[in-house]
Amino acid sequence: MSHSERIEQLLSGYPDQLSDGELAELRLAAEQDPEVESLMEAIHEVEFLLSADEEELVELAEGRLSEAGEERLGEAMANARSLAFGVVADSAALRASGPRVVQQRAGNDGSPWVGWMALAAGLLLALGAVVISRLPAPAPGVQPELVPAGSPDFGMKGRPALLSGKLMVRGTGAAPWASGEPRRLDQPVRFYAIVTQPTHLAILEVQAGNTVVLHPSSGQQWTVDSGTHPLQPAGSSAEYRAGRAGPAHYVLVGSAAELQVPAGGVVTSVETLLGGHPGARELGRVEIKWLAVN
Amino acid sequence: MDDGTASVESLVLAFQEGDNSALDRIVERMRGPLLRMATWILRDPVTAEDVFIDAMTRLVTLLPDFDKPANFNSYARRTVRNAAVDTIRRRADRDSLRSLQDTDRRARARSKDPGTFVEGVPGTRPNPEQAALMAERRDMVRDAMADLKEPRRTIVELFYRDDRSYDEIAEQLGMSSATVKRHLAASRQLLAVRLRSLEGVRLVS
Repeated sequence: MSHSERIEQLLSGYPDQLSDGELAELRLAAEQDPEVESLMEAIHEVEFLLSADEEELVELAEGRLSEAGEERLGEAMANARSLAFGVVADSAALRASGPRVVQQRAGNDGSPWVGWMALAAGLLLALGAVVISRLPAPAPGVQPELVPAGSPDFGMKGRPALLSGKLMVRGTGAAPWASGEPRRLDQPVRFYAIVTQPTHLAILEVQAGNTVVLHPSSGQQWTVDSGTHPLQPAGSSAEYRAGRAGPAHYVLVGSAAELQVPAGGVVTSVETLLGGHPGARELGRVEIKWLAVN
Repeated sequence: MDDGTASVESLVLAFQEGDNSALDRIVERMRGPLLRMATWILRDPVTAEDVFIDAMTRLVTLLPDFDKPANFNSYARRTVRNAAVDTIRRRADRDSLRSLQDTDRRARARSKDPGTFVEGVPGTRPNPEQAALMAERRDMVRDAMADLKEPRRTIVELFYRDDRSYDEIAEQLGMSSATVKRHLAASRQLLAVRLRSLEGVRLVS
């Protein structure tokens, strides 16, 4: 089989009918041949164009990111600047390196820019040293140690895990939704949990005096690593709509230890669930005013 | 100053030569196309955002020492595309690229009562110009479908137009589901070749 025949064969199975080895072979070929690269992208485009409905065709990402996404991207850019210009960007790096002369990258010598950056970095280092000197030193023997996810109390061993995160709610392609807007009962929403460390999660609905754990089910766990996680219950679908009209609160609860959901998912209140799980906390809450469908 | 016409290559060079602001312009220039591509592949804007940011995090740290600035744009596209595809392949449901739109699950969702999770596709923001371009390109692909040989044309129509599952198509045409999948993948490739030969504009660029 010639090289071109082999590439054609691989493309005819791209991307879901190839083994990992075949996919790697095709990717390597694409790196060396822009034509192969272009065809791989075209396959994705064809897949999208064939399967997208009219609504999806007019709904495209514009390159806007969520607030959390902008923050993460900003951090990445700060790190890139640090690498490029030798600016130590965060206090953790300062702590690790201690006050020192900022090294310039080879190739930047002589640039007036670098001189200003070095001056700014020096000021930053001096300020950092003052701040660090005022920080309490970690107690001996309680250095953080990451426990693998999946163990009963994963998180940071030796000190309580500082759980943080948020709940994000989005509409659908057919019916976008912005926070604060009312929502018709026939227009579902999707939930996303954003957490900064491995966490056991639960999402609750509080409506008309009733509090119900929507996910996970009793006896199950919703355990995630750091990042953004769409809620998609196993064997079910990803979108949700309330069972009745009226305001409802959706509450994301996080815990370093497993969360025990009672049979049927009904709890007295969010506080009751939190009270039964030391260290658990409310990570986010979103209100939706559900409207009856006429 | 960048008036919006500077190439990614020139911006990468500017950044490497000490122009701090070039980094912002590189990211602004690339985020739309890359995020769109991830959204197309994943069909979920939030997961697409995650994939995009993870990829950009790796990409921007490579910038200072990226030795072929002319290749940075294509390298970035490849990085995002591969990451999105890897995400799909890691999903439990590998039977279909359309895992969020699996027809069987759609049918189940239709039968559910309110108060439950129902299937659907997440939305993003409208962009009329892009939508018109996409509609035009979709018509090109549909026209090209007519040139597919049987049974591929029928399989593509049943799968994409009629939302039939692999198993349903296999049963109707008297072949295995694996054969249906192979025909679909091969059809996508043929249509991709046809699209590239017809096009003057690349949608994700």
